[in-house]
Amino acid sequence: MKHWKLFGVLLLLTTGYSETARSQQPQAQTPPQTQTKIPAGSKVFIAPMGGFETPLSKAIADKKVPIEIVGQREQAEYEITGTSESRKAGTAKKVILGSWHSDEEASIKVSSVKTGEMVYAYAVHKQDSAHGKRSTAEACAKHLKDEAVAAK
Amino acid sequence: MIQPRGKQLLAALVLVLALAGAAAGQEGKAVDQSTKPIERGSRIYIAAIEGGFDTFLAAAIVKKQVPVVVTTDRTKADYEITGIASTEKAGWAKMLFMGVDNSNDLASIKVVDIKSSEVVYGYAVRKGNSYRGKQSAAEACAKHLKEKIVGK
Repeated sequence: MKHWKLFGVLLLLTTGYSETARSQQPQAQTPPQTQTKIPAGSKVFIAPMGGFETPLSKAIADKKVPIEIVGQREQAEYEITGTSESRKAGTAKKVILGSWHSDEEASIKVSSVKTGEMVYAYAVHKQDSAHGKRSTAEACAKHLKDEAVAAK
Repeated sequence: MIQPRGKQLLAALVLVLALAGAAAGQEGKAVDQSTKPIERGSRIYIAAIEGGFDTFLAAAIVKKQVPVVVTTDRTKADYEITGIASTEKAGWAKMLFMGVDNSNDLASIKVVDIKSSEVVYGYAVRKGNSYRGKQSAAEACAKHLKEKIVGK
């Protein structure tokens, strides 16, 4: 019994010490990938992404992202490229897990047409997505609005 | 009633199982081919990777704040990232016995200095039972790439 008490005290002391040491370590100053935001009203071209470009452009409109979508790459200042994948629920998932919803994943990358530099990228994974591609497209649009595009 | 010795054995067994479980869930291996460091602010081009993993990797680089500039123009880049990725969907047995439909994800990347063609960094990761699919593997790659650049 004494041994267990002693072990407990030692464990607490070790954990406390390591936490203190960790909190005192200097945090590495790492700048984010990009410092600049996409100016509001910028012309953006959405490249084909196997059909994901359609729900994405709709989500951008629904979420009121302050950018202008153009149909020609030559007219655009920025380009959105990316990929998306849908995994429909198979029979096993329906029977064993009782879920009809698909698993969705998508990833987008916004780059400057002139410089070729990437200014923003975002990836999302939705397990048992209630609205399929629409859910991932809306997540991309929301994060684009909140994190990448400068407010008007 | 469990005897004190039995309790100790039980505790040790639980600890071993927990450690084994954690080890089985994620395996990553980094290989430094060259001692040459990747400098902060280096321009990196990500080549197309199967299944759109390149876009997930770009998103992970942004999320993990890796201090590099991702460019879509290879001629303007200092380094190139190439790699492979694969996803294995959960089978019915996994769903039945484990009650999850998470996939197993494998990814491997290598960073090459474009001028010298020297491999400066390589990393491979296997995510067993990956909740976020490719996103998890991409984030592991980005995290370790950041460690290579800024140091642990």
